Amino acid sequence: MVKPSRLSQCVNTPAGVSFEEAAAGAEAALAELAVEAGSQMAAGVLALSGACADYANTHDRAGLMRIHCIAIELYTVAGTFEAPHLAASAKTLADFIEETAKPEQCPPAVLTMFAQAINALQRGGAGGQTPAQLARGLSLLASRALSGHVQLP
Amino acid sequence: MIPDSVRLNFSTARVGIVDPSKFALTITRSVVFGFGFREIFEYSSAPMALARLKMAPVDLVVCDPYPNVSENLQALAALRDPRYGDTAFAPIIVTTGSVSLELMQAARQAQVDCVLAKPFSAAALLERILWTTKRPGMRDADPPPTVHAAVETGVIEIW
Repeated sequence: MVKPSRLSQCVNTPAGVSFEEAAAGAEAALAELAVEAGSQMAAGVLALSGACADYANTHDRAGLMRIHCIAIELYTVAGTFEAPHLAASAKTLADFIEETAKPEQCPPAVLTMFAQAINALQRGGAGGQTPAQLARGLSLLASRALSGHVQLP
Repeated sequence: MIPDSVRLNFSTARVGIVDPSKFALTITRSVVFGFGFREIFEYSSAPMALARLKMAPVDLVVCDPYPNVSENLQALAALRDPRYGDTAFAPIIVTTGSVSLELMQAARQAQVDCVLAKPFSAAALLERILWTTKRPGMRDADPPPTVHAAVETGVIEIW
């Protein structure tokens, strides 16, 4: 059975606002969260480092899923609040974990490299590398690790 | 492109937001508040929403099912039960930062209206909300609009 959504009664109402006005209202509301978003991203990067350090000890699926969860949240917040390199790096990490899927295929050393690079990226770059270069480097690391071309200690 | 002649007033509509992340809940809440929604209910999981929505029906559900995708989508499917009154007919938009074929298939089986990849822009969510206000048959005749992702890496999937 199909029933018209009650929400449809909210469209084309005389006292309403335009699409552009509604979207602008939402963007303005989002802008008010910018400072809190910065703190959330910093906390996310810290949590990611901690989770990767834990995974180096446990090397189990639960640890891997925890890192994936943090990476996805970091990706979402960074993407929403215009931190494109942080968003891209977090997404690369999440994709890498999804591709490898199992702990035995996901070496802790690679995830530690991700965590260190994302940490450096959050601080605005490190070792003469800009955030954009770090993000590109992580993408390269992920593709090489997936094809088995990374020498690990 | 939505014409200026379309006027929106969501002040009397009720929306339920489901997200395990507190800050993601805050983001979505701010966005829908900016659209004009004033009755906004937040839940950390779809099963929790299920328990509450019998008593307080909503007109729209926006849900991120990750990481307990299966459990949350089962709960969303249960929302289509007539016992949930008007909520059974409310549009459901799934948002996710982790899009996969499995999720898309499971979401379709759960009878959600569309899936919107995170991070999304306010305009992208509003376009989807407007699209879901059309009855299913009408949506077929009017394909969803092109969506501009908030960041380059964003992917939008919809049916």
